Amino acid sequence: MNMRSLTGSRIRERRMSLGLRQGDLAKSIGISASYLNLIEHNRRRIAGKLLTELARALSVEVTALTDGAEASKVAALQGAAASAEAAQLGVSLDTEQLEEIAGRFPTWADLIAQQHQKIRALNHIVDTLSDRLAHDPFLSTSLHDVITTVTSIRSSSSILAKEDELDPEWRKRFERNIFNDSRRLAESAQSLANYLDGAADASATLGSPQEEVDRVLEDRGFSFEALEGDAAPQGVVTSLIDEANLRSPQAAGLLRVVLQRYQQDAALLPMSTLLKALNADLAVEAVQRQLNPVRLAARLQMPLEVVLRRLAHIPEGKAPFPMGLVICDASGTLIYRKPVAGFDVPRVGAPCALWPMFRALNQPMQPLRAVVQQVGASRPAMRAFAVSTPVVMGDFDRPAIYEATMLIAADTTAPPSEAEKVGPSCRICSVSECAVRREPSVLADTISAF
Amino acid sequence: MSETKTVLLVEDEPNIMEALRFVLERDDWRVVTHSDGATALGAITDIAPHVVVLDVMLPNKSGFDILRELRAGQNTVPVLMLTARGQQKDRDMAIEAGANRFMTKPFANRDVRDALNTLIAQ
Repeated sequence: MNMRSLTGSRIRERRMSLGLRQGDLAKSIGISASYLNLIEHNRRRIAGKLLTELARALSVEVTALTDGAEASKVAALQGAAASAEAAQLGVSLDTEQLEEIAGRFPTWADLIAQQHQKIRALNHIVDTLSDRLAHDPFLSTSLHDVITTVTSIRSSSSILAKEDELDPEWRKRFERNIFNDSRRLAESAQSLANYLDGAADASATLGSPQEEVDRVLEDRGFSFEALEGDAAPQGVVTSLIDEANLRSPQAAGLLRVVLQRYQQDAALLPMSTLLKALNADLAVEAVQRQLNPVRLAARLQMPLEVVLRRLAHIPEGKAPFPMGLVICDASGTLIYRKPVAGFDVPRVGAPCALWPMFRALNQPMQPLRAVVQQVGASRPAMRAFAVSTPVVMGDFDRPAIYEATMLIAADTTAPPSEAEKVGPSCRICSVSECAVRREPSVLADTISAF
Repeated sequence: MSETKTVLLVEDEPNIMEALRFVLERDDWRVVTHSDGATALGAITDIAPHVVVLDVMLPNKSGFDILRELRAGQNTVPVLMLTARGQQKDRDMAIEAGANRFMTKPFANRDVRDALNTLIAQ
């Protein structure tokens, strides 16, 4: 039975929804009730004048009776029928059967379609949280701490409960242990709760020290006016850390490193100097040129990595286009993230190995540039500039340790045709066949190779 | 128990260690404790206990690594592994490393005591 052959069902449904009796409707259009009954049970085809009259009597468009709203319903049902849940139940329905369900039981069809969508959304959440559980060192360590503390409380309390003639000295010791463990458990549980709240609501307090620091930087728009210039007052970094009201000393330590570097960069290359040089560099002889941080570094006689970091921190509205920055250490771990719209930087887990910054790690001191574009809808091409530079100088007994810095410029002139396709991170990348994929994606629908 | 048996507890959580020590000493075990992963292998060799209770997450070296090295040295002392992770892959890893028993935290004191008695009897 195809969609059109369900016209009778739709007539019946519409008549009943209007509270019309079959005989009354039949009479109003000049046919017998028994004939209408055959039509309503899809045993007589209906078209032309009679269909038009029925539509008018039922106050609907003819197409509402012939095509109905089932097309979208059927499409949604097809998704449900092709789902893993349907396969698990051994349910196999062809298009004709789905059309019949959509036509005869539209409300149930809606419910099935909505539940299918809900299941898909929930599966995605479960996958994402599983991903976080599997890859988040903070969560893993916190859970381990909670379980260990619970074990300790259980062991001590069972001794108190089961040993009737416990020596007072031992009793006191186990009571003290339980007290200390319960306090530790409360702190761990609170920290975990805060962390998980943060997973559900990005504006909530975040858990790990790095995430706390990320949050502070985001709240401040990655800009610290107090640190600009070479005459920032002493103690300003400490004041900013105090203002941040961080929960852990580890986060305060991380933020101090970030702010101290910011302050050093600002002293080396004041923002006004950078902006003046940038504007002059981009508009030589009134010709708009592309951003070239190497050329800019030469003009300013500054290290390239300093120029990249300062470019990324130009206050909003003063930059020619938005710019993001990522820095990774020698292990490839991201230690600084300033995101830019259109280029996702994962908070947890490793990013895509195709990012130019990882090539830079293999070619220390060699500036690299590329046009990159992340896979996914509405992702613009962007210009990336990367360099790896030593953070610990080598000597005869010790190799140099490098970090890589990558500026991501959302320059609208970046040509998509030249863009290298990259992902955000494997777990949330939709490219199925990728030479550098290290783990499966949580995304159900993947596209083939780059 | 006809003769005093020695158990080496390798665990870095002092309160768990204290509770287990109390329970096992009540059962006439001689309990020796050790909390550092890096030196645990030497302690097992030196003390030569009848049985070892070995935590997986230890400072400086994991219980799995300690156990692998122990078995590589042909030491067959029965080992009960304790871990906060109870997935099948963790159990498989423990068995592959050479554990005789595997117990997931939080456990009951009684379960540890029973497991040790079983290991000794084997």
